[in-house]
Amino acid sequence: MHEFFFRYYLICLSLPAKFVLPKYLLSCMKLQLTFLLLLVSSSLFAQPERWQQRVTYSMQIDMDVRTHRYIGTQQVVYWNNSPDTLHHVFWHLYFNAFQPHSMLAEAAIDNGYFDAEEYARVNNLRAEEQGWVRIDSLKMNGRALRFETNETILEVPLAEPIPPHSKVLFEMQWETQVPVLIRRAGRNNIEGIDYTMGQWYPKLCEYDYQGWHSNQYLGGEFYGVWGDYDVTINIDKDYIVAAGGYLQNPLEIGYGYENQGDKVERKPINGKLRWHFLAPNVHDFMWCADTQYKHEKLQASDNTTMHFFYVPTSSIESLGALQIDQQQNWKRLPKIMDRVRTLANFNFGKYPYKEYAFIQGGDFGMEYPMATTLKSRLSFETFVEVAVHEQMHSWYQMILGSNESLYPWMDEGFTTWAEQLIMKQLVAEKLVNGHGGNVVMSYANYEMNVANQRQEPMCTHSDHYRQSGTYTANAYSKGAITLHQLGYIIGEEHLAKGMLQYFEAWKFKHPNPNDFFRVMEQVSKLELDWYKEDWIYATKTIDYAVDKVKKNADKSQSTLIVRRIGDMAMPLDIVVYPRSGDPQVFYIPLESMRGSKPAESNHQRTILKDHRWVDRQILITLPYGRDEISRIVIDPSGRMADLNRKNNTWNGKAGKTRS
Amino acid sequence: MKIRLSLLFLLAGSTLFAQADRWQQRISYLMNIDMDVSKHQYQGAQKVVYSNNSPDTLYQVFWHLYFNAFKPGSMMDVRSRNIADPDRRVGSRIAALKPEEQGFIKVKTLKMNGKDQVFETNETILEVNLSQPILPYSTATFEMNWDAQVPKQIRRSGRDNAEGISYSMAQWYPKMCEYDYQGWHSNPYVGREFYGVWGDFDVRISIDEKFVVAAGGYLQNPLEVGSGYENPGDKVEKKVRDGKMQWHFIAPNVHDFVWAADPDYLHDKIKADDGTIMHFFYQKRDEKDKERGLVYEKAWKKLPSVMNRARTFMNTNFGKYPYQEYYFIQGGDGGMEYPMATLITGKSDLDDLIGVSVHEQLHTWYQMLLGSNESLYAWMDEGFTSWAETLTLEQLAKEGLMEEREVSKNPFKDDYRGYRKLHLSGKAEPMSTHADHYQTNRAYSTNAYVKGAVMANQLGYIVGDEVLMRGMRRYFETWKFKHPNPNDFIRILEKESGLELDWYKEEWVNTLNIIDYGIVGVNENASDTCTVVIQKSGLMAMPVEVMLTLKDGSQHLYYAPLESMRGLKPAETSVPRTVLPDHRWVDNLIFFDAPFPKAQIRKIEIDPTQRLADMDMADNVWEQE
Repeated sequence: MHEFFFRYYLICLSLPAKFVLPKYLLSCMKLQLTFLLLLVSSSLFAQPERWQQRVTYSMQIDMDVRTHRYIGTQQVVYWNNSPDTLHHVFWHLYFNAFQPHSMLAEAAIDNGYFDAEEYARVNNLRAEEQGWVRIDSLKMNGRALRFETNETILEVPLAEPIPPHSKVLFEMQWETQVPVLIRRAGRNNIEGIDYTMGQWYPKLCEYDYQGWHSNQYLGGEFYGVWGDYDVTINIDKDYIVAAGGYLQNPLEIGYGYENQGDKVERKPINGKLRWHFLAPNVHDFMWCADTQYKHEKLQASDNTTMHFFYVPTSSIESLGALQIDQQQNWKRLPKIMDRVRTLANFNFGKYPYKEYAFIQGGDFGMEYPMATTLKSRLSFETFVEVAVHEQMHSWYQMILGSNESLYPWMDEGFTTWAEQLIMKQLVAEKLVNGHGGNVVMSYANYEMNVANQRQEPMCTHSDHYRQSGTYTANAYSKGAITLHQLGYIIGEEHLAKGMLQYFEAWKFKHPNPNDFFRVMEQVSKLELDWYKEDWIYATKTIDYAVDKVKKNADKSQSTLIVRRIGDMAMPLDIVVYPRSGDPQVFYIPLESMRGSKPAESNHQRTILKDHRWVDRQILITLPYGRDEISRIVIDPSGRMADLNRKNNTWNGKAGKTRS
Repeated sequence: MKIRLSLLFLLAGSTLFAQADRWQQRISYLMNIDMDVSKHQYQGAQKVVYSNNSPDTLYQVFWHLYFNAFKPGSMMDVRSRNIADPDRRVGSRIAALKPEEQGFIKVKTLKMNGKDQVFETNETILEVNLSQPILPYSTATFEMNWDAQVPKQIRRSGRDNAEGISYSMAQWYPKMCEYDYQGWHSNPYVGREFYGVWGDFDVRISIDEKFVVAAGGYLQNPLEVGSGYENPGDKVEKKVRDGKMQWHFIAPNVHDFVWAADPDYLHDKIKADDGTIMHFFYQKRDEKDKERGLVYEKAWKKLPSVMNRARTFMNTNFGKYPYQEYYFIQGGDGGMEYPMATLITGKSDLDDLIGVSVHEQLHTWYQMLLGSNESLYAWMDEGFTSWAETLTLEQLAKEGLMEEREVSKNPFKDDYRGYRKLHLSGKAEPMSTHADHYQTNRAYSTNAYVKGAVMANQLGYIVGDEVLMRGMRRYFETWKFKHPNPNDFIRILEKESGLELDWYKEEWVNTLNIIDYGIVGVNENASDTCTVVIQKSGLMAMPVEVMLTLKDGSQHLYYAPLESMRGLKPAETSVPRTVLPDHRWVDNLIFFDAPFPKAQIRKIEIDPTQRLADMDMADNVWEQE
């Protein structure tokens, strides 16, 4: 999801930037160079043996574009790899959310979502505009099952339980009506795309060490079982289908799927073409269809194929001060996405699939395995930013797949962080204009949320925030800060190395916060539990201040007094800028870390005694007389989420410079 | 409560149920202690066999050196002086300790597998960078020598407590930190929680012959020390060397070891009905304190029979006590739990003495045997212990074993009140907060004890009390000696109840969302029925149970399960129950029709059992005017 993020971004643009863009980001972009040698194999590090369910879907869809309905069948092989006996199973039936007074509509109105009005439209949908999934039959191993549709959840008490370490076959038939697009998926989106088919089929709920995740769909988060998809879609021959998967019958389809020179022979049956896709090792499958799609293809530098599907328009619109040229947006996208992929492979781990599709559709930007739906009526810079963001979800949502409802910051936050680093680099390479990377916005959002006294702990379930604005601030902004600030704590090199290691160790395994922090502990050789506990599981805030610089009896020295005002203790980088000579870093590790980060710059660094979290005052003897000091700054990199930066700097008295 | 009568036959074998495969470190301690009571110092030696059962290579190890907290300027001292509401027992007392009153542990030598190790004492944590890493699934042997000084008693342990007990020896030796799937737990001691490695202790204590030693372990040489440890008729031959006697204890499968010593200890012993031995160590009555002294002494004399009954109740309801002995020892500064033992202050009347003895003994279940990480999940220890304590004390009161305590209609009332009060004060913090890092002691203690007890009792409302009791035993059987976390607990209750309970954990533990239901309307319908309207004002949704009492006295229960539960609890009483459609958590109104004219209804009440932690009870009852 990108929508919340973007809206917040607009809100924040009108705020004065409170501090300058951290300099470290410039150096971050040199990351890539230093990364080559940091790729460490995950096998060095042990990880818990966590069991995981497995699924294969074989689905046959017969679409009726006049009624916007389809008939579907699925054969699902489900492996219960858990040590538990399962007495019931659950499917998501997302489209049922688009019926009047659904939980999705009620929750949105109640919580004052940004999109409350959009969501409230659900209550006024006419019968033919609503969405529904009607299960006609369900069998397990050939035997009919009882089932009950409870809004967006199909509840199935099993006639016979599924024992541990066994597999079963489910066969389901259903009928669906595609709703008008209200949120993410549906028909006839705002840019005229006919079908955006996200959350469109009965999808098995995930079962893991925390039990069943059969949460109702409130327009929020996703969590799924990894498996292989084999999907056949029969649709009116005039439609072009784009999907997050590998098309198996390009010679029967064409539309740019065929290789150059290949002979295409379309064989419509009853006026419909059959599209056959495979998607191995994914936890969802999405497709779109439109009669006007133009399909462009690019063999990317990493040898994967990138697809671009959009409806060409020749018009150029003005949106406020912005000139919007959607066609140009799409024309310019492939080259940049190729570069983005290279950067992402390098810095965040290798993209493991063979294809990826950028598809015009949906309601802003939404991530799926091997695909994203994008709106393109945007400025080019924003369009690129959204495309980068959604693609980066492949790393944190599609491949790592943390439970988004419980830990949205591990998906949205990390994705935002990666997006910010990439955007910065694209700007540096002059591939896009603008400042690049909204790190400042993340910090500003977080600070605004604190200032408004709206904080809730980051361990809050996504659906259950008191304020949806706090969800956004936590998931996106505080989530991104979690990593920027972690770079401050353990050093950028360790962060970069750790993020690669985390990806390698936990891909396709649904990591939780502890799994993440344990990797970071192992890479940095520092204890980081305190960071997780104070930052994620509580709402503590950080504020350090330079209290005083006192003259010492020994004129060549002075005493710096730093005060801890916030409840959360942090390690401190304090930079002293003498009136003459090079700046010097005074580094105070936090006692709870049981170690120090490596030096991050070439400045001389002095490691001082540990800062104990109970201490509210830190005294430092500086090897400069007070008059010799021009300036002292706590964390000039701005990575520490210090709520009051004004008190981080001490300026020596002007005019006292000794010549 | 009726619960307990039906429980006897419900003990379910744990083998039926799968459990998470979680690795765990293992340890054995062999310790030799030579005490100098004139200086309050001792010399110690330990040989530790440490099994790294983790899949990780360990490059460092850590020991707790708790006594180092009792020095001016220590983290415990600074924390106590900075926090808004310091523990009265600590306050700024550490800052005032004179050198001979301070505590210390000075590690002199440390070897691993015979090789000297480099170590650094960082206040209460000994940091050791190993000369060679400990590989996964391998064992290392450590040998350590140290000197310690026992501090004047400030908190929990030390010498010369307020009641004159010479030595309360808790947190007294270098104890290895626990390493688990969350990494090292080498938190400095600021006076709060404990977490340890399970293992076997073999401890020899040499101390001035005038002292009687009590400990959380099995004495191995009763015939050499006597003092009531011997069986009647056994011949005791005290072995005194250089004026000292050696006391030899072993304690198998525990994660800590406590002892206490005093020259004036009386020692009573009973064989409890479950075959275990209960020891009672308390001071001889002070002749100067005649009247109160008699009260105390009488209380201590009555305690054994009450504790025997309490133990039977605990074994039946919470799981079987697995050790052979247990010690109630006068000492410490209130009540503090240890494996096989508790240190309690002893100058109390009977009810107080029973209350603290029951509470501390019940920690055996939730802290000694389950051993959840207290720092992270304080409520899983203190909360569940408080919950079990209340049930036990209620039973004792019911059987007339308490002096003044009477059976209460709602024994958890004070817990609910405490929880509400903290919330309304605006000082609440989420229960997911690390115990050391609360902004106030009050928020910590309310969460740990009170909101934790409500957590358990309210779960009875959600899944039914019988299921809760079965679930708590299944939890104990499945997770004893394994450090369960909140998910492990909730998963057991999910399996026992057949309901989904993740939402309860997520909202009750991880957020400050509150529950508030109210009756906002009883509307007369045309057809001799009426419609009851319930409003949800809090963000946290719960299953809703409404009791309707007619003027003729008959009762009808209306039950709306929460949609998130995906099921319903069994009926808990014989009152006819109507199951309403699921209550979806997004809905702010619940309506139901009752087939009675409004005029016939005397009273409508949300949750008459008062197990629901409703924030505002004022609108929970509607009565016919």
